[in-house]
This record gives sequence, C-alpha cells and structure tokens, in this order.
Amino acid sequence: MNKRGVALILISILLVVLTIFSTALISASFSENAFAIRYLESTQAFWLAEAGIEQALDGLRADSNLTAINETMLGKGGYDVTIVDNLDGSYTVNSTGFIPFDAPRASRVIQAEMDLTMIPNNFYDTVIWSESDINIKGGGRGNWASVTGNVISGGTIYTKPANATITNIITGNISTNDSTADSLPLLDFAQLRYISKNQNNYHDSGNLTGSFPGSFWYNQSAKIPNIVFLEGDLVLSGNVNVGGFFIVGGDSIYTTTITGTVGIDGCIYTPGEILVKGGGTNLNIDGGIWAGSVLLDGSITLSYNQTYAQAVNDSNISTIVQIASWKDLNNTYKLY
Amino acid sequence: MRAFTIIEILIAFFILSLIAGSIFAVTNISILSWDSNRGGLELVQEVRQAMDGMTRETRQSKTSLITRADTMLNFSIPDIASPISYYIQDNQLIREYPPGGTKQVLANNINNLNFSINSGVLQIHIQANKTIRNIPQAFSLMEEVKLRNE
Repeated sequence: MNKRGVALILISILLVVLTIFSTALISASFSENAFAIRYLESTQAFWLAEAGIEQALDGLRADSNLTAINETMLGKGGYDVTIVDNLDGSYTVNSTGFIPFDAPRASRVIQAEMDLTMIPNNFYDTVIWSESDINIKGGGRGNWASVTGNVISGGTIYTKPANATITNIITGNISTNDSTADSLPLLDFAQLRYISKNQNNYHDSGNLTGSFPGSFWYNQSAKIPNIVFLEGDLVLSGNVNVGGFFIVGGDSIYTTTITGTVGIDGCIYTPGEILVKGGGTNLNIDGGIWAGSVLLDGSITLSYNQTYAQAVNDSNISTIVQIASWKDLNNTYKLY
Repeated sequence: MRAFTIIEILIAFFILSLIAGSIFAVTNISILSWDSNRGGLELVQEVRQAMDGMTRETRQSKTSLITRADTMLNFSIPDIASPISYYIQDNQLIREYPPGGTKQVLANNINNLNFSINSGVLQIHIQANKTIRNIPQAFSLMEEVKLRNE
C-alpha cells in the first residue's frame, strides 16, 4: 500500500482546524471592538447633547427669544437643539448629540425644562431659605440652635432627637414643603462676580482660605454690602469674625462648613449645603442664609437682620434662566 | 522490507509520549489562563455595564429625591411617580421598579455595593468577585455622578 499521501491529508486537516480556530478568535475580537466603539460613540454623543443644553442655557440667558441652535460641529460630532417657548416663562429644550457629524452612527437626546425663576417676594424676609430639608441636631450636650426669624423650606424640618419641639428652637413663621422654596432662584453670578472682583472680595478655587472682610458693609453710608464670591467650599472655623454677603459656588455646588467660635455679620447664599456645627461654643450668625439644604448642629444663634437683607435686596441682583428639570431620553431601563 | 524491532517501537512511543505530554501540559496551562482571563474580563464588562446603566439613571435625580443611600439606593426621577431601588440580593445587583414590582438583575457575582451623596454628587461603589477554575478574579469600580436636577 502506498502511504506517501498521508502527510498531505494530515496537514490539510490541521490547517482546517487552525483556520476555524483563528477565524473564531478574529471574529470575537472584531465584535468586542465594535461593541467598545458603540459604547464610546454613545458616550461621546451624550456629552455632545450636554454641550447643546449648556449652549441653549447660555443663549436663553442672553436672548429670551432664542428658538433653536442649528447643527453645530464640535470635535468629530455635533449637536442640534430645538427650543420651545411654553409662553409661561418656561422653555422646553431638546438637545440631540450625534457622532460622526456626517452620517451619524450614534445619537443621544437630552430634554431640559428651563425657566426664569424670579426672586419671590418673601425671599429677603427669611432667616433660613432652604430648597430642601433642614436638619437640626441637639448636639452632644443637648444644646439646640436658637433661630430668630422666618424659616421656609421646600422640604421638611427634621430634629435629632426627633421629639424636639421646633417652636422652641425657631421663633418666627415656619413653612415647610413650600413650593415657592422648592427651587432656589439662581442669581446673576456674572454680575456678582464682577462686583466682588471690583471690591477685591473675589476668591477663586486656589484662594478659598484668604482673609474675608470683618464687616458686612463695603460702604456703610451708601449702604453697599461686601459681596464675597467663592469658587469653591467655604470653611470658617476657630475664632473668626467675618462680614458680608457670601456667595458660595454660584453655578456649581459647593459646601459651606462653619464650626467653632465664629461670628458672621451678614448673609450666605449657596445652591449647595450649609453645615453649621456649634457644639458647645458660641457661634453667631446675624443676617440670613439661602441654601440648597441646611444642617444646624449644637449651640448656634442665628438671627434675621432686616437691614442686611434690605441692603442685599437693594443691590438689584437679577436672576438668570436655570434648568428646572433634566431628562436623559435614552434611559437604559424601562420606566413604565 | 525489514520490520521495526520492539526496542525501536518502544523508543518511538517513549519519544512520542514525551512530546504529547509536553504539548498537553502547555495547552492545559494556556486554556486555564484563557478561561480565567476571559472570566475576569466578563466580570469587568458586567460591572461596567451595570454601572453605566445606574449612572445614566441616577444622573436624572436630585438630593431631595434620594430617600436612602448606603448599601441600598432609593430614589426618584422627575415625572416618575414611584421610586426606583438598587440593592444586592443573593450576590446579584438588583434594580427594582416599581416597589414590589419588576426585579431586574443588572449584574452577578456582586459582593459589595455602596452609595453616598455629598454636595449634589452621588458616589457609587461596586465590588465583584468570582472564582474561575480555582483562580479568584476580583474587580472594584467607583464612579461619581453629578445629579443634574440638583
């Protein structure tokens, strides 16, 4: 029997097996790669849609009659924005991000409701204005805060221990779950930055611990307050006395922490959280606070000062268009 | 034609078995390494996919709509009446919506899940591990989500 053809057959079988194996490997790596590209492009399209929302917000702040932002190229992709004026001071903005710019493979849509929240009439009449909950803790020795003035909250007032009587802590009108406080009006931060820079009271993110004014007044006879703008967290601790109208963060969310024997002559405004921890020491705030949320822990004296509130009101600070609600229209999971 | 002697056949078999044995040993180690690496990658992909879904959904919430954030997250988003929950059950990452309703498994092999909120930013921490052919694979992922309705 002639066996000289066996090697050819064996090699052929081996080649077929190797080809099948390598084809499977290559096809797996191609599909993994395609999956990764899809994910990458979807993420890029999302951030392009976010860019569209930010441009629409900026555009509406400059021109309230803006109706659309035409296809705009950004990097390899672009965004397209439509704006519908709901004729009640609010706008529905749909922003579509897509990539690549010509013949898009991926797109994402974000819908935002934007409105111009005016400053409510009672905004400058309160000692605490909180967009969400106010938490009041008794402190380690059961020392409670003493709050004098009107308190308004878009959420609830909680005490810890829970059985404390709120009216023993707050002397003034109390309003909770109040829809007027549900959204903190965004002040015109560009205007506030400008004033605070002119007063040398501006603190960028690299200079947050610098010295703050000792008095509320920049010019007392002209009734002009010190406007102190911080582009980051405000931390006041130890033995300090400061004054002015403090704006913490502005467009961004930052935290204000006040601890120790601190005296504040003035007001604090922040879309973020204000944490005041008095412990057993003497912590005094004479003015008022407007915040995203508030925690008062321990012995704190917080009193409304109408002269200061009036001076801030008289500064004629306007509000700007803000995002009232934000929705990712391509939510991953079912919502019904 | 002369036949092979028994010694020649034995030597041939001995050499053949040495070659086959070494090929088997190398292949076995390669398959083991392939399996465990592939299993590890699948674990990473599963966790990343779950994290991506959670960040996309939670981004639409705000601090006052989050009622619990520790080992479990209970939150709402605008225009949705009932809350959404994320938690671990039997080493599975579960999304429950509405409460008492559909339970969706987002990822398997999860041994730790943690949520915390600070200044309008939600931090999500997931730890996952599994053992593939006696080789332990672990993966930990943390992401911060800026709550857009804050």
